[in-house]
Amino acid sequence: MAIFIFMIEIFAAVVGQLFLKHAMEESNRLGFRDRGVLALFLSGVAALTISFFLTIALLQHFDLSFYFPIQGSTVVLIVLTAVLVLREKLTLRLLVGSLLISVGIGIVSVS
Amino acid sequence: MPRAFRWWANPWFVLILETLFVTASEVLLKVGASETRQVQAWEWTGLMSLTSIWIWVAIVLVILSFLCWIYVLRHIPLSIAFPLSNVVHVLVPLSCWLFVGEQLSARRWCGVAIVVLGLAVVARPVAKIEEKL
Repeated sequence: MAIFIFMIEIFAAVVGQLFLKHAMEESNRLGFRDRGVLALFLSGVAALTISFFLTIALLQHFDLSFYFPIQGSTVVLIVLTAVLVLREKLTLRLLVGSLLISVGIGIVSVS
Repeated sequence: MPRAFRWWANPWFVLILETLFVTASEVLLKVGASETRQVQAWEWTGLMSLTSIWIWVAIVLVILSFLCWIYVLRHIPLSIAFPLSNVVHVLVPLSCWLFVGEQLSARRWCGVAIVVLGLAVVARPVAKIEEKL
């Protein structure tokens, strides 16, 4: 059950960030009144809200210093999806840095 | 950075502010969640935690951090801003150790150190860009 909740939580977090970033980019061009921008923004907020409440549920069962770092796997996921979906620039330094962050976070979480 | 910002409107400053709000909110969420863990109904939804005042304070901080975050997203690429926002993975364990009384093992400290290294790798070119401005 906990693994399942973790997976939904991480998926919602990644999708939410992508929607938000895309909405903010589009808002530079179209403004906040545009329906598409608003829909993207609200979808992002909805996904992050789901992720938020699932986080609280998980916190009721695990130490914060244990649970929170597991979310770190979202670092590499978000960097890669931002590059693939939003066409942001991927540098070797960025990849190495985000991998180090994820690995570091992973080590914190298994200890 | 295409244009000059006042210090408080500088996206990098707002990013730091965002991480401080997130850290404080996470610690308070843990405090609130612990307080309400004996409430069994709707357990896996986390909704019962709303009976704790700390959860509400944390929610206010989450909203503030969110406002900071969308401002940051407007100016900084997600693939740079998001890894940097993970400085919370250093700040949260430190805060847990300092304020919540959770114990950190040697291995956990190593993990924190590797995160700091990763942050430095991502942040260095950003610092150089800033210097040129």
